[in-house]
Amino acid sequence: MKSVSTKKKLIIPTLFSFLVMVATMILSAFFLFSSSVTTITNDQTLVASQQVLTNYESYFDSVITVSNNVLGTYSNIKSSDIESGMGSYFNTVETFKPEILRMSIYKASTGAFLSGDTLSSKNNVDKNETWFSNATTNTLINVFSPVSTAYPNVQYTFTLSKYLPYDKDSDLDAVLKIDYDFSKIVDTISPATLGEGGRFIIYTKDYQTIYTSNSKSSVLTTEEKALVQKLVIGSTGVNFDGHRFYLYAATITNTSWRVAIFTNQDALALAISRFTWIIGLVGLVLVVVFVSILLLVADSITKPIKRLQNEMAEIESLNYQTSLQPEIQGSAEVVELNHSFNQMMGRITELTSAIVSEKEEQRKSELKALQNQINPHFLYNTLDSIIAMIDKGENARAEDMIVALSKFFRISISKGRNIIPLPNEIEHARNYLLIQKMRFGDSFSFTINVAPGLEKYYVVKLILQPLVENSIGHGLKEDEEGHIAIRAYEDGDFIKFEIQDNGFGMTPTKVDELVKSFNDDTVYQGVGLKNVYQRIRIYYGDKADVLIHSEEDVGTTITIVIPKEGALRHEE
Amino acid sequence: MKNNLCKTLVLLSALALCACQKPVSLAQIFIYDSTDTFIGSLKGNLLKNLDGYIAYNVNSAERKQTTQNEQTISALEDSRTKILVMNTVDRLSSSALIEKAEKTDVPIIFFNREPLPTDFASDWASKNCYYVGSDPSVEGKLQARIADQIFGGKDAFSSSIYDKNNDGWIQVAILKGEQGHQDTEQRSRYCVSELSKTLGYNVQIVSTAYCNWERSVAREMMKTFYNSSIELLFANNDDMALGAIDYLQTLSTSTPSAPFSQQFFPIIGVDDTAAGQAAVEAGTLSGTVLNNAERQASVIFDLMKHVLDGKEIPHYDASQVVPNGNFYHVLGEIIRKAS
Repeated sequence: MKSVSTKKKLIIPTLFSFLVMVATMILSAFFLFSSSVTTITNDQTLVASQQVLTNYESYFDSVITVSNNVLGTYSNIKSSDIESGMGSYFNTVETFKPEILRMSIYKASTGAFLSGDTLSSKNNVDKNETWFSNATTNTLINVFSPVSTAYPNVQYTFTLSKYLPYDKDSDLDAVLKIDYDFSKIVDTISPATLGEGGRFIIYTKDYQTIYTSNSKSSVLTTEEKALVQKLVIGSTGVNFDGHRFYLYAATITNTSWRVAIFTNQDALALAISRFTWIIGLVGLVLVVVFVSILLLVADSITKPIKRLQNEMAEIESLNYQTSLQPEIQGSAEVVELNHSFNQMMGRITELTSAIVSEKEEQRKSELKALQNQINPHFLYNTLDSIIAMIDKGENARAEDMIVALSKFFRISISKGRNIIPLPNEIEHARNYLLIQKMRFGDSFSFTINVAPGLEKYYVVKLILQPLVENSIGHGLKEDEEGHIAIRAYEDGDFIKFEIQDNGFGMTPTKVDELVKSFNDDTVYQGVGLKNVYQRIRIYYGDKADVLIHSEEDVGTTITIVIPKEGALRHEE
Repeated sequence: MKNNLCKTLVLLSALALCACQKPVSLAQIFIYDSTDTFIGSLKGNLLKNLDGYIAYNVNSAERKQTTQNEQTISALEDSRTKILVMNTVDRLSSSALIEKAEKTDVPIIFFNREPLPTDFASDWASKNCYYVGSDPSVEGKLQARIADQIFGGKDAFSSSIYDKNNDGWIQVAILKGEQGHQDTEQRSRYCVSELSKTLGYNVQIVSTAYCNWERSVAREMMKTFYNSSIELLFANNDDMALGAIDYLQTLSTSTPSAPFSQQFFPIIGVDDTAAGQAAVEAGTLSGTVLNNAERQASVIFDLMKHVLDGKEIPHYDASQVVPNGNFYHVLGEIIRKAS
């Protein structure tokens, strides 16, 4: 499982909860606002619409009261008084009701004129006219119809007709006709109060238009009709003509008419959308501010941890020298952690340097011990040879030998140093060879070949001499002249020393045993070779090596390989 | 014991849950005014029938059609509403209510306020709308029959004590209900026409007055037009008849021991309300026509069962209930003091 960083752990759940919280807040604010603003607006519009309806109902109520009063008056009047009595009654009514244009009554059976106000035409009427036939068919209701004759200068009119039973003589049953001026009541609601596109429509139960305030159409449009037919009565929000409307539809009491009021509610939609924008912006700002704060806080917590983590990563890559920040800024826990870490690192450094110096001491003593394994018999034998020369009077040879021996020891000791310049080491081998050559009576020859440019290098001292000693001791045949060749040269990143003899050589088995013995402390074969091998490994590490190439009856070549970079150092 | 208690509790809560989830069918009853005596008694009879059959909710419009429209709309929005039983404020609103109810396919049974025949013309209405009410023309006719019974026939009238001026004509006064109300016009018209055209009396109407169905108004009206020439008083309902009686009882007569109808004139009402019945018993009200609330309620109930359960509508006795299409008229009955 992939582990998650502290910063992410800190940020993700917090940010998520915050986003959920903000989203919940925004959504609930939105729904609360839009529902309450819609409710309030709808309630207000409903009240306004109901007020309009109430105005109309009280208007029609007064219309019907007039009709009922006529009915009562007519049923009480003497038959002989009908024409004059009703006529003057009508005139009186018209005085109080300026909205009445004409009032007249006709005989229900024939349509003959019975009575009317002073302005009425006194003509008989056609029984088949709508207002007349509807009244005689439905004798109990007030019938509202369009006027049969238009009045000049009056925009909206209608006719009320009503069957008037005459209790005393049903032959005198009559039909009342009142023409009304509808304009004044219509004017009480101007389209402006309904907003842009708002309209007010009165229509019959068959959806025939009585009145519409829609200036674009004198009748219910298909769209309006579909909307009011769907609603019938009640209220609802509708969208058409690119506007939002509150539609209120109702019956007008005591008429078979209905009214539909479309009130523009664009302001509501605008208020809601404006609120949505504002709350959206507020939400955005909140989120931005919160995220910034969150990042700052998270950084202040995680940065010191991160730094600590980086330092620890350095330790993983074995760099114990990690520079410790004396004081990391951060929360108390992190400072404490850092402090402990610093203490721990200090302790580790102490411990490692102790171990390193111990190792160094150990190495030095090992090196010394190994160098000291140089055969002491060589000195005695050489001194014996010098004595013998002096006895024989070979003073010049004795002197040469003493000089060579002196040089040999000077380099061997090298003021106690382990590392000496490469030419010195070569010189050391030469002196050794000179001494041995003199001792063994020039029974072998030798050549030393050092590639130019090697003078600057340093090597562990006394690595050639033991190998030369081996060559002389084991490598030379008695029956032919031996030859020992020493070469030093560069080979890539390495410096190589070759000690070649033309002696007996070794079997491959012997070579294998020798190589195995290098790393095996229980084997004590080839002490010199192993000694050299161990010393160069101690000093130069894994890159240094000793190679053996041997062929029986042909000779042996030992190659010492040391890295150049190691050979540039000369401090111990 | 404890285990049983647990089981019972689980069972009970499960039942409660079922009860909550199961939608209850609801009959919505609309009345135009909660103070109207007759409508009150009709409602009482109907609710008695409904108990145990269907849950109901009563809405009173207090004489405002706007209120009733709103009540209807919210009733139709309630998915539990299965039927509307409707006494409209304004019978001209019936068409709108039918159209609205059709949207949610909720049938309507109208009562007391009669829709226009054209309102039931649509396919849906002819299957789902009914009307139950009295027949005001029959009530008017029955009022005339009561007068005929009192007078003992047109031939006996001219020699009876009731023809005060011995002219062979009946001088009639009428107390009318509400102007333009169907019952007012129908009852007023048919009591007179039955008396003159069917029963052959000579009838002269001397006074008519609208009293809005109200006792106190009738009392005042009586005061203004009372005169000794009146030989018969028809009132469109009992309350107004009682109003007239209230006024007459304040007068003193020369023959205080004679029956009330002879001291003044016979007074005939409609409805047979409790007060009317008491007046009939007391002899002040000569007779009344029973507007049979109980029977109307039971016809409404029959129609509800028909609409809701598809139960067949019973065949009614033609002297009690007259069906005419989806209009069911419950006939009135003569109520007189048992002799």
